[in-house]
Amino acid sequence: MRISPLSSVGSLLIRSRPFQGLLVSVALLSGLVTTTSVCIAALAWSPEQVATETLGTAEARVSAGEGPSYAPGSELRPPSWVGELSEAVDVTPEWRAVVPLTTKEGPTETLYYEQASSSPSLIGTVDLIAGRWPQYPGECVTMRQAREVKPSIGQWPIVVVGEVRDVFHPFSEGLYCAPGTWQRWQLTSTESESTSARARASFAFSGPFSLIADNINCLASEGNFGPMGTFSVDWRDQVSSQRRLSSQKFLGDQAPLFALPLCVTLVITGRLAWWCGLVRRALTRVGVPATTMRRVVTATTVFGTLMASVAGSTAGALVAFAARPLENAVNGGAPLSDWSFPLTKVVTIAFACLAGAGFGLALGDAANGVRLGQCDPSPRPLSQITQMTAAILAIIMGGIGVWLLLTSHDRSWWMIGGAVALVLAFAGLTPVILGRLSPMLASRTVSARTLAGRILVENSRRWSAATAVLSVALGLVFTLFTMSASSIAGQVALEASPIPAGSARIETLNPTGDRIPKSTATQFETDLELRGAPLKLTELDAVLGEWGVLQSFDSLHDAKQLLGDLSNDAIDTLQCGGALVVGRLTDGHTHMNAWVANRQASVDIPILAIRTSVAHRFATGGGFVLAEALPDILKNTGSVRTWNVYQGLSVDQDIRARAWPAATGLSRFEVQAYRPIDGFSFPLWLAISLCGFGLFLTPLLALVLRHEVKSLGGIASSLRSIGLGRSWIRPVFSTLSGAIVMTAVFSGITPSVITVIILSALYPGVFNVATTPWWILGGFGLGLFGSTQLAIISANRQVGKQKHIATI
Amino acid sequence: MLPILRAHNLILDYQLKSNSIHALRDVTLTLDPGEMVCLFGASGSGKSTLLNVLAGLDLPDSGSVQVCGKAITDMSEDERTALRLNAIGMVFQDNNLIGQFTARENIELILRCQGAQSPKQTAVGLLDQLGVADLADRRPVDMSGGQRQRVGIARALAGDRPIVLCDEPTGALDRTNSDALFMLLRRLTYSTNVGVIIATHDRVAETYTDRVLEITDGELVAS
Repeated sequence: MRISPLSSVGSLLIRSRPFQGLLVSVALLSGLVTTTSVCIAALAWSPEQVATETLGTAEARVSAGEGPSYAPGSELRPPSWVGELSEAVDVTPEWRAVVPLTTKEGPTETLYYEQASSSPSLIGTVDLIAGRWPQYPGECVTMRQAREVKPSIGQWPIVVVGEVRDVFHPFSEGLYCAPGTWQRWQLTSTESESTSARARASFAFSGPFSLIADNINCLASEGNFGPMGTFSVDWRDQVSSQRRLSSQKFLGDQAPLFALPLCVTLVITGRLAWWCGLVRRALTRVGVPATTMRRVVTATTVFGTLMASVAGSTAGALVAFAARPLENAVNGGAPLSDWSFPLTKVVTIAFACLAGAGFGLALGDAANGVRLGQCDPSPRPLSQITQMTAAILAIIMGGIGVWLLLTSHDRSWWMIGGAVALVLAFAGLTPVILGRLSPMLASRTVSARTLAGRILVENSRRWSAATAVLSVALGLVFTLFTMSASSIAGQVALEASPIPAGSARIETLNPTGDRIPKSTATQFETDLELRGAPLKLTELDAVLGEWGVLQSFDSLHDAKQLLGDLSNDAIDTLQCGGALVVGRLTDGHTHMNAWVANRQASVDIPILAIRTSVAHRFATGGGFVLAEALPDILKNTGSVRTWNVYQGLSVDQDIRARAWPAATGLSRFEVQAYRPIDGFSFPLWLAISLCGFGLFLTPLLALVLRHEVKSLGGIASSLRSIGLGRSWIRPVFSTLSGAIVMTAVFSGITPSVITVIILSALYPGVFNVATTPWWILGGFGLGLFGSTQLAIISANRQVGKQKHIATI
Repeated sequence: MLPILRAHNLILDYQLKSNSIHALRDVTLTLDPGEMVCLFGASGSGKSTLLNVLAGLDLPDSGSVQVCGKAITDMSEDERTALRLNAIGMVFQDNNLIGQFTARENIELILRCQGAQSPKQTAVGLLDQLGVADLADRRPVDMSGGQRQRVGIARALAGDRPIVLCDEPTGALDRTNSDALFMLLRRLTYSTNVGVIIATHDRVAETYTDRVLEITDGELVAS
């Protein structure tokens, strides 16, 4: 029987481990990607679900943002036009407010809804899970709340008669009450004035679309919803079509997920191509044409990849279907979108796998020539010309990087491009660095270090390439880390409390002209047990350039109390009608224009930057001035806002000051208290991410180094056979790997440092080089070095264990 | 006179999948100072395995090897390596010279590790003794096969080691160079009192040696 070369090569390929590995990997990956993407897609609601979530069963809802609001205790009366509409259109008024309540968990601000239980907005959006719907004024049902609730201020006899659950937002909180409940809330006139709780109406329309549209148009034109532009209408159709658009966006967001099969298949097929290259070389020597092998490999790989991908994706889709109950439970019981077989995803993933396989074969085939050449054991030093070319290219690339950073003008991509160019520049310098370092190691005295140096010199082309690749990887990670850490440190500084610890201030006059009732201010002082008279701080209707609103003190004593000790220059500036700013003046100005808004004029005043201690760091913006020394134009601007500032608060008083508005419901006047930044700081998260990367990189690097050490196994066993033990061989490998890793770490850290220094100089408020935790990078570099040494020891042991079977 | 090398009842099997290869079967031999022994055998008969076991590169499944009265079969790998450095010089078919070092540095390496005085001069002296002093600063890649083997022998002799084990030292050499090499080893055994075992399949070696051993399928047969 004649055996065809096609079938024999095909069966050889199919039975091979690399090909079977490809099929298994593609199938598993396709399945995983399909399961993940289908599960994620299930979380995005269908247009109908979104319409229900927004409107219930209503056809439209009108929300009057600027419409009449009702203070607690008022009667929530529907407007007269509600009863005047045609019978075919049904309108249900719905009232909502944010109310200060106290539960067993403490004071909180909760959404309050007052509407009939038959309201179309409730149908399909809220489920009664215990008790009954409220029927009489004062009866309410709660969401995820204690059954006993009471108002933080005033008297409000609320009876909780049941518990409900928001179908689409299971973790949201709120209070649904029967009509007439709002009216039963009794407050004193002072309490009523001080609380910001106000009920506002929206109207749910049900009926034929065209009739509703006509009625809403008519009502709007008559001004029943307030002036045009101050109310909004949600239409069922509109909500659905908006959802369709955002579904497309959602799909776009998932696009990176489909890049995964392409990249992974490319890598695996590249390895298959390498194996095929070796087999092809052997087969061509015995007369099998290379083109036959190529055709068989291409056809089998493409067909196998397609089948594996489709099978994997289909299985993945079925797994996602089977996992829906679990996903629903994990999602807190919120509904998932309707199930349908994800044909588009299956086709897309199959296409991505095929593209990856095609590219992998092509690239692998092209790389084979180079790699087969690398198997040649003869020395491959890096020529001087190559080193010089690399250095020149690196300098050009570095120049481009710096230019991109300098001309970034707030454009993130420009900054990233500059950072990447700098990383590439330093990677280009690694051959030069190794070229200078290795001859220093390869001194004339015979030693382990000398041997390592000579190994480096002899194969400098290979080692330089490996070092450059490592430095690119490390450089990108380090740069990402330093850029993020320095920018996030800036953000954290911005988010820091504007009031230092031990301070609180309460607004006594707000920008709308309302003055705080004396009783409220007294209650604040009594509740917090504040002793001593507060400082008065007045915001003027004047803006000091980029620094913001001017704030004035009544006396120099007050200024010193708030800002701490002042230098003679600072006192002189204040007494000359000038302004003090906390921080640094970048442009070196001694005078600056203060713009007086109500006069449409500006006045030039002296300015001085001061530094304050942490205990006096009032980052409330603007410049600080002395009222009595101000020029007339500023004296007469009038007060926009005034504050009572209290100092010397204990930690407990700080906490009570933060909770006071919610606890008392008196939130109409702003209270600022010291607010520590909760939870992990962002740089710490970054540090944890970097450690995670290190944990991932270290074994990877160890594997690579073990492979490299094994490739030097010939030298190791030669040394061993002539009587030089592991203790002599280890320094050879350690020096070798140390030179490579330290060069790569240096080439990786340096561009990240340069990038952050440049960005910090260009964007002082955004990037902060001083707050970048450099010690983490240093520790990471040392950790990397240490772990490579461990890898060397392990590899050295492995080399030592190799049996001499070949010598029989 | 006590033998400097003594092997007793050496047995070594290699397991290759389902087959067991008997590499050494109950091998017993001795080597005296200044004695030159020739070990003949066809390819795969166990010559190299025996030399590796005698040098402590491999351990036998059973039996013992004593070098200068010390049982190397009881030693750790590091101890055996140290013993090789100080007591056993090896000459390999492919010479095993460190390619990154010159001829002198290859010898100097051993001397330095032994803690010898003036290693550089001693290395040059050894090369001179073997007639390749002019190659001192050349790397192995720049030498012929015969020259490399001479440097390999110089390295094996460095540090006054009492035993030299040669594994197919003439495998890559022509007749003339092979003869010259055997003659050189013979001369060295007389002048330095070193015990030499040469594993080879070159029957010409018989002419130069004191004793001939034959190994077949791992079994030693005195000729």
